[in-house]
Amino acid sequence: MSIIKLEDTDLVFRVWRERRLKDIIVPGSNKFNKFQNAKVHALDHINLTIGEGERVSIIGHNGAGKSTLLKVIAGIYKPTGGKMTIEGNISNMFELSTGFEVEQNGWDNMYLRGLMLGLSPKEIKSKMREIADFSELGDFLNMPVKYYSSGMFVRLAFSTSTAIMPDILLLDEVFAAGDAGFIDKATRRMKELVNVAKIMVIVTHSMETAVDICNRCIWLDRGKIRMDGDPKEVTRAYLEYIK
Amino acid sequence: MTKSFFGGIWHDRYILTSFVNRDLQAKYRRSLLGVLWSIITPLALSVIIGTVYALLFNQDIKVFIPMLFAGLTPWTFFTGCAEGGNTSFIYAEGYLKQLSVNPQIFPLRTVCVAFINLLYGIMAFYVVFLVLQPQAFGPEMLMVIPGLVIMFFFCWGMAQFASVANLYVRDYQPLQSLALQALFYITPIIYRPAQLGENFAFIYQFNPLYYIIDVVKQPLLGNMLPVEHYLIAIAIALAMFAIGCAMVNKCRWQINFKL
Repeated sequence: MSIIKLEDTDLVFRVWRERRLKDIIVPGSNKFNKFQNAKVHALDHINLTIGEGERVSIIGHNGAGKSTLLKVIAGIYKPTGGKMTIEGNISNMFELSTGFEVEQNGWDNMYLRGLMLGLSPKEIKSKMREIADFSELGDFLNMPVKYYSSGMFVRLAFSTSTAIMPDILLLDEVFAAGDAGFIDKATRRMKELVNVAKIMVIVTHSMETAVDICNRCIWLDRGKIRMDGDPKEVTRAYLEYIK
Repeated sequence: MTKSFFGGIWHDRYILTSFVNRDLQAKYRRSLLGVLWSIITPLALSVIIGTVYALLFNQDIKVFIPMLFAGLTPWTFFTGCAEGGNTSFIYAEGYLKQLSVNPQIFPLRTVCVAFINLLYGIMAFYVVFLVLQPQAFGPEMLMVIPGLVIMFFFCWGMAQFASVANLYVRDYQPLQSLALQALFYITPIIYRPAQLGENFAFIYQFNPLYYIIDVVKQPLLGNMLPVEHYLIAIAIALAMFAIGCAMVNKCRWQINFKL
């Protein structure tokens, strides 16, 4: 049984202004920088339950807290308030082309990423062939990843993150860099994954993806859930709002 | 808190060993002599500095070179951990920000890599020592093992301290470099403690690093240390280790925001 349950979950970032000695010694040298030590309310008392079989897309304008929400669910950020219950093993894929050992080749990075997603060395080794096939990277896997294009990073990361058959899959803007062929293939895989009763949460700016892949859509606005429901209705309301 | 700290390391042990392996391989990538450099560098350094000092200060090369080498090897380990600790979290940003890996493995990664290089350095030392003073070899040298354990925990603590301090104030790194330079001269490495004389003995007597370096240095040279010396070193190492762990634990959830 996999579940994501957020009860009154709150996340407040503290942002520190860069301070230099000059700012202290020379009064007024900083008059163009009005930015003071501030608090950013990234997630504002979120209540949300996602159960098995749900494919949720999160939409909203930049800075609405979409990626932050995923990172909180993934356990990368700890909420500053409220309660959070996550059951099931998580696989995620966030920012592209970070989290790679650039000097190492594709195989080594696949291995390392597998370990970081919670597999044992044995498990990841047995899956490497399959991951390589799905990624269609072929001989590029023998090349240090510093020569990879962003599309190739997507292929490698996506193939690894989805091959481990997670209970919960979290994806952030995956398709921004993949080519059409791979997006098709990845979309199919994402649908397959949910067929085995797992949870998927994706952050996207593409309304087509939200409607095509997902059966639930959440519109986040300044850290709050503004609308939650059928992807068609939510995306329509969102598009009307931003017009 | 302690449980989650060590449990986290155990949980991510495969990631840790994988990183350490990679770092060791990457260090000598595209180099012809490869890992031999870990032995050649301290060897050549000791011969160069040793010869210069021996000529300048009329020291006996056979005694001076081993003494210098035995002190320089643990010192290099210590500075490697302190300097590497600064960037442990910073270089791991890509992983920390997108995968839920336990951050405490990254300072440990730095320490493990430096420790393996230390072992190579010790091997090189024994080669030199065997040539220069074969008569000094004996079972007392086995005391180097507890010495290495003490030093490992001290340096681990130091790496954790540096990793957190530098995350909060980036001025820490240059400041620490300077402090290390100063420490090098007030720690008896290129000279004997006795050379400081009665009046300046406090310089090393109140220097924690003197005790930490000596528990490795003296057994290497085949000398036995008094028990008090070990007790002091253990107390210092445990204190440093506790401080380091407490700091990493305390800011466990701040690291991602600070990067």
